[in-house]
Amino acid sequence: MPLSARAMSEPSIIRRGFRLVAGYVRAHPGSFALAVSGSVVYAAGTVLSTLALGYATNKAIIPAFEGGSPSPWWAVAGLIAVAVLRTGGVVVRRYYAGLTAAAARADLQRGMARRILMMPLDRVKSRPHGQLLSHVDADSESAIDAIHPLPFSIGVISMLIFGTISLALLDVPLLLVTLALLPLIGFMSWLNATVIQNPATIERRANNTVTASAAEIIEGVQVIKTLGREEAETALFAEKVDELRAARVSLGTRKTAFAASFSAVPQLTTILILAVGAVRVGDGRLDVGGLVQAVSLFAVLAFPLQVIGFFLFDLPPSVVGHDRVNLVLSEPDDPLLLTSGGRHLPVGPLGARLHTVTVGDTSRARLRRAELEIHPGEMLAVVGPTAGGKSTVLEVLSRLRPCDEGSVSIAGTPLTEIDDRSLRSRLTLATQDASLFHGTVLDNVRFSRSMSEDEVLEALRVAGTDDLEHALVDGYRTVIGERGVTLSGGQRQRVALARALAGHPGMVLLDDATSAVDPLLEEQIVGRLSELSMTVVMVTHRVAAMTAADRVALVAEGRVVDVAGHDSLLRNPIYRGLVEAYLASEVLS
Amino acid sequence: MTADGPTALGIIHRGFEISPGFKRATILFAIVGVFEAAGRVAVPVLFQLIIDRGLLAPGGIETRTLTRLLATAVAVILVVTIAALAAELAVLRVAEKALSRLRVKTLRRAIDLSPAQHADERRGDLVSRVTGDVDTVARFLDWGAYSWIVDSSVAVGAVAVMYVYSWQLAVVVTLSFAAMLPILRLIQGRQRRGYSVVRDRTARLLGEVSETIGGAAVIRGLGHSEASLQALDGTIDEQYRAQVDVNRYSAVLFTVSDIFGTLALSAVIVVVSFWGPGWGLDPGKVIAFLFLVQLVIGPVSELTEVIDQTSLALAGWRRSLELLDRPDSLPEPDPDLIEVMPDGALTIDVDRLTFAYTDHLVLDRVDLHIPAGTSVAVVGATGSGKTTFVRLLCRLADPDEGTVRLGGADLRRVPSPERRERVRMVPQDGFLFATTVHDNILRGRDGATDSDVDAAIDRLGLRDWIDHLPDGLTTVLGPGGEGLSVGERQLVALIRAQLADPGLLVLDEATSSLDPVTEKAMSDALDRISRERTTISVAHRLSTAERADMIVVFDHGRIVESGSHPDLVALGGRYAGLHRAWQRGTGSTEDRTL
Repeated sequence: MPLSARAMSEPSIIRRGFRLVAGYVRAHPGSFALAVSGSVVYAAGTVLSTLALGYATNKAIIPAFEGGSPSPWWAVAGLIAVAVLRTGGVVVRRYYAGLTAAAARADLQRGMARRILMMPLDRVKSRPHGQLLSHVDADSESAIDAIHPLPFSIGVISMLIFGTISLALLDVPLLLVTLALLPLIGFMSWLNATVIQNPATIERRANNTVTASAAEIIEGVQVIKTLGREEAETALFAEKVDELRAARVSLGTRKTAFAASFSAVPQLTTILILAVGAVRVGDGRLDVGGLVQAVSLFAVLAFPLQVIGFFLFDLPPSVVGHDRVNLVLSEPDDPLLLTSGGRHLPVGPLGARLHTVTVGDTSRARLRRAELEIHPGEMLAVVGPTAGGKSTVLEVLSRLRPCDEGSVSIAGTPLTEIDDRSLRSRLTLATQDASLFHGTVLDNVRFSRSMSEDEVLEALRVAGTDDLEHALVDGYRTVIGERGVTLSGGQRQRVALARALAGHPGMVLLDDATSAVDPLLEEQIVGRLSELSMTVVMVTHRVAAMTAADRVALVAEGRVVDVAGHDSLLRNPIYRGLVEAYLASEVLS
Repeated sequence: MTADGPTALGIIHRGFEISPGFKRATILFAIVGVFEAAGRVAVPVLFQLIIDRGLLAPGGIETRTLTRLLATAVAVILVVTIAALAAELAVLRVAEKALSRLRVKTLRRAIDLSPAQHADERRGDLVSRVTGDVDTVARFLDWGAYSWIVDSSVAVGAVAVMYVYSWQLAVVVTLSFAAMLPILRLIQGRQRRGYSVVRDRTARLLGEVSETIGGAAVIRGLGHSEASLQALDGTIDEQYRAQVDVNRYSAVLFTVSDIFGTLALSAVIVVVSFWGPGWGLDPGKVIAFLFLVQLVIGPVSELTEVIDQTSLALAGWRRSLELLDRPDSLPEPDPDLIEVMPDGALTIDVDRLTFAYTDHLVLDRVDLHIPAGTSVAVVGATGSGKTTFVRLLCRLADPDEGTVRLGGADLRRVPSPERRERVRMVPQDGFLFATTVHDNILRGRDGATDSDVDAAIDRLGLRDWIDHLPDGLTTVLGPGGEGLSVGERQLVALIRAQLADPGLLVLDEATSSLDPVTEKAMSDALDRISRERTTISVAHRLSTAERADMIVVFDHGRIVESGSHPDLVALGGRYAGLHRAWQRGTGSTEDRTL
């Protein structure tokens, strides 16, 4: 994580932190203001409590022993009233600080969700899946952590003011002693925040490494066992755990040392106040109740500085968390989503044309001046060696990838001018990885589009999912788990195929979309596809599908090398070689 | 804890058995805590003495007593602080060492579990037991453990001192705080339920985001972006509402002890003002008493916050301990009963092999003899038992009944280091580590050198194939082997196996179709690797089956046919049927081409 390391060494991280929380506050001023006012009420209440306690000592306790008539009721009423005020302040502050933080986090998450849906597709694919998830989850949480202590920190500043005024009214020399010592405590708070920051970052990083390493080992456990690497992998893991241990001990040592000084210094200061106070009492300028009150007020003054220390401590991790969230938020819009020129596609099967299409830079181009004409209503198989550009042809046709040069038109209309809604309803796709979603089979096929149940069922029939209807407990109304985990690979692909077919598009693009389907069943599906009145473009490795297609396009090294019927294309030696290789590796079971 | 799970004490007991370091740390910590608490309680007592004997002495201020008392207070504070600090740092080291050992132990246990426990749907659970659950224990050590020991010692110590001062007032205080308990329980119960809702909603949100990332192309390609966005916004909103909901309880919880502390204070003041002089109290004692009440409020508030964290830590600890307590599925042989496998290719003798997953019989009394050096293809439908069969040959699990003998040695009596050296498996999902291809191969055998890697590559005739990778041997792979196709990963795994030069090689062939280049490289490499050893392939392609010396056909957990390819075709049974279907495909193309 070089990012966080860099961020840590930047001198302005505290300033960036202030700017960050200021942004959150501006977005939710109302709840934040309530939180701060709760905190001010709490501060006032705390100061008033010490006064009330002093009053109770003088009016209720001392008279009781000096033979006077004690009147505890006013003192007690005051104590309770002040406590209600104080705790009310706490409740308001904690509730609204939490609300502000939760709202700010939801803002970040909504922003990230929108970015994930809108950013260029290859930018989504280029990141590890888990990394995006941790931006949405853990990073958004740490990004808002600094909000929690902020209202309290602001509120307790008023505590400093109330406390100082009260102490000044009580006894000026004691005030001077206290004020002389406060900077020491303030300095300790600041030191704490700074000195702990770095080990805290190291500890979090070490923890992430340990988690990632454990996940990798468990993921690959089968291999580790077959290689007999249990010991070796455990030893590697133990090394990482040991780094984490060292980081935690270093962090814990500092924290413990500071905690000890935080409790000792105020205690020692209290002794000093008692000593000075004793002199004042001896001079007759202060009564014992006043001294008790002064000791409490000192606690009131030391506390805010510790609280502000907590806030400063929480600030840098929030900046680091927000930097990670920003990796998603700063993604640009996919230019392909902004090109809706408002033109609509006609009904019926669609034709298409790729004209001198180049994708990628010249050294590693995926397509190089590719030319292809697709006739309305035909079934076109796209065949070729791995990494030859087959999938890219489909991605360009479906406007999921931009052309760097050349142009694509569907039914005579330039692809860049077609309205997105029209394009997505008239031209659909299904891919090998068959991404399904949590929901019923019917929901997955309908996919939030307006279509009748009959249309959905018809699509399922063509995709050959009859077995599924009987195998699942509630048939097509069965909820399939997240990403369709409860289905086998072939079943998932058939549902995804039905999703592409539903709603009678004019063209359907299939990128190896039946690779995990049983070959015999696949043959039947291809047969039914050829009877539909729509254009079918399919990347395939199966010879049966190539023979069933009206034409086969041979794509190699970024070019459409040849387009013809299967039989005549067999004269092409590249194609012939491919067909023979595919036959040899045809899957058995 | 839940009614059916172990009690908190049970978890702690078992946890201490497994990590004696935690027990040592706890005992040490308890001593420190009591000491520290004594120090914290001593301070108000000293204040009382300072007021009574120093300030309010009968003959005016007693300067000498006062000075002595103040000096004592300074000494107590310094000694307690320094001693506690030293002891806490010692505890920190002991506890962190125990925590590290727990992490490593749980991981090791997770590795050693039988394959049945590594099924896909449980993998996330296993990872969380090794990481997240142990982390809850770590977070508890950061703060919760300290709070429990010191705060409860302070609270108990302060109340004890109260009883010394005046048992009557102490009773008043105890009763006031006791009244708080039912309210605390009520709020905490709701808070805990609230948190579990938050966790559910977060899990749902992450699941949806995960689907959105995985299905990004489909979402755009089918114009679902708006609907996805609305769904995600809705889920984020639900998570937000759950968070705000639980927030109500967290906000109130912290103030409960403050309110009841104030009630205790008020009660003391009222009681003292009416009966105080009669109970032999004096103003100094009462003021110290009031300090003591305030001293209790802080720790009690902290404890109310810590309880929640504690139950999380206990739950996490329980889940890691459960993992550690799962029975050893593959015990090492008794040293007196060890059997040794011969060098070179291994014979395979399988006798009445039976295996069941829970209640589902997968292998039913399978018998088989395979001579050394044979290449065998195992075929059969999904669920026929063929994969389980080859897994038992590698002892990834033990059979419920029957034996596997390799080179005459009972597999259960062969020590695991020897077994791993002599038997190698190339699994279907060729998982590779996130490092270079070279390092992945190097991990095939401890102590292997670069020239061993080169020799293995040449032996399998894969030099050209390696050179075609983007950066050759130094090509860096992503997590799990990202960047290579499934077939290519298997090729790397094959080189890795060649490096170990095993007597038996088991290959679970990839089901997805290979591109022609990989297919060619794979079949050549398989030919070569099977020359010097016994090989068993779970075959998904007829080309692999055709090439084998012997074919074994599985159906419903039994071997239904076995023999050479020509023999089985001639037999006209199940294998012949499969072969005919394949030939039909080839035949039709040939008809058209010729």
